[in-house]
Amino acid sequence: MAINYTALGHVALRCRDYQKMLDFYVKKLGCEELFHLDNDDGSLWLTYVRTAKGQFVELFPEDYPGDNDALKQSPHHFCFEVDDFAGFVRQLRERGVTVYDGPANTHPVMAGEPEDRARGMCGSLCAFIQDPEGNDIEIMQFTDASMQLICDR
Amino acid sequence: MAKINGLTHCSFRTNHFDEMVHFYRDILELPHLFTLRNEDGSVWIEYLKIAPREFIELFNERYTGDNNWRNRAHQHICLMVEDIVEAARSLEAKGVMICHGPIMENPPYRIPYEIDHSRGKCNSYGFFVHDPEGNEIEFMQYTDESLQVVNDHD
Repeated sequence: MAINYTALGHVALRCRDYQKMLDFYVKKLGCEELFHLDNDDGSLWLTYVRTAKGQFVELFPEDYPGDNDALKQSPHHFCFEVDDFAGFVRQLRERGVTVYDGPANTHPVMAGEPEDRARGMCGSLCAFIQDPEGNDIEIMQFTDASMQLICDR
Repeated sequence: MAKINGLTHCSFRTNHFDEMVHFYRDILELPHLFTLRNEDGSVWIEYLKIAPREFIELFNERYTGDNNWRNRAHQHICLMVEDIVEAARSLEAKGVMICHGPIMENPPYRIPYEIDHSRGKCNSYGFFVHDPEGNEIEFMQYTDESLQVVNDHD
């Protein structure tokens, strides 16, 4: 018996500030608010935010007791692939999102123009942002030297 | 306007690196693609493939907390499969506990899934497992009535 995977379907996130998170994913990142699931009492259980066809972020309006410090937990970050790294980074900056060299807790703010960005160790262009809960998000564009593509031929 | 193409990976820190690699590669059967190394030659990241352009990154980097699922924003990730029953059987055969929902909230599956076939509120089939660090992983198979499918578009 084999397990046949078709996709990375979604990432599910609790929200201390649900409205801020929804605004971030929709207005800053350009994702689409797709549909809601409600609890039996009619209150909102979760919202499906579409990042691409068949791939979503689930936002739960559900507080959590910790400080969500990335360095204290196993989930490290998740990553969105973009076609136009420079354009996407410029757009993030225009929308007031701080772009970092790496995960924000351990890396400086990205300096310089996104067009001049050097490729990472894996051969791809990448930078990091944080959502309003402090989850680290990587932005990546594959290149002809990307190991993610070369090693998967 | 510059747009997102999709989710390309999810990454985890590990306090049990070898166990995590074993779990994702041998138990979940995700093919190992490549290794990124630190300058001293030690392993930095192991790359495992879910689907074309979609991966799991395992960092050989520790975290300091207890990774309690309830205390943080990150709840789970979800892997889509072609056949949910086959995936469940395959994982059970390797001794993995299958749960109806997040492991800390729901009891393990006790009813054979062929009879059960209960769908979630979104009309998809799903179950949860947890990795050696305690991260929740959902397995999901869409149906024709899945809200993820009927609400989506090209």
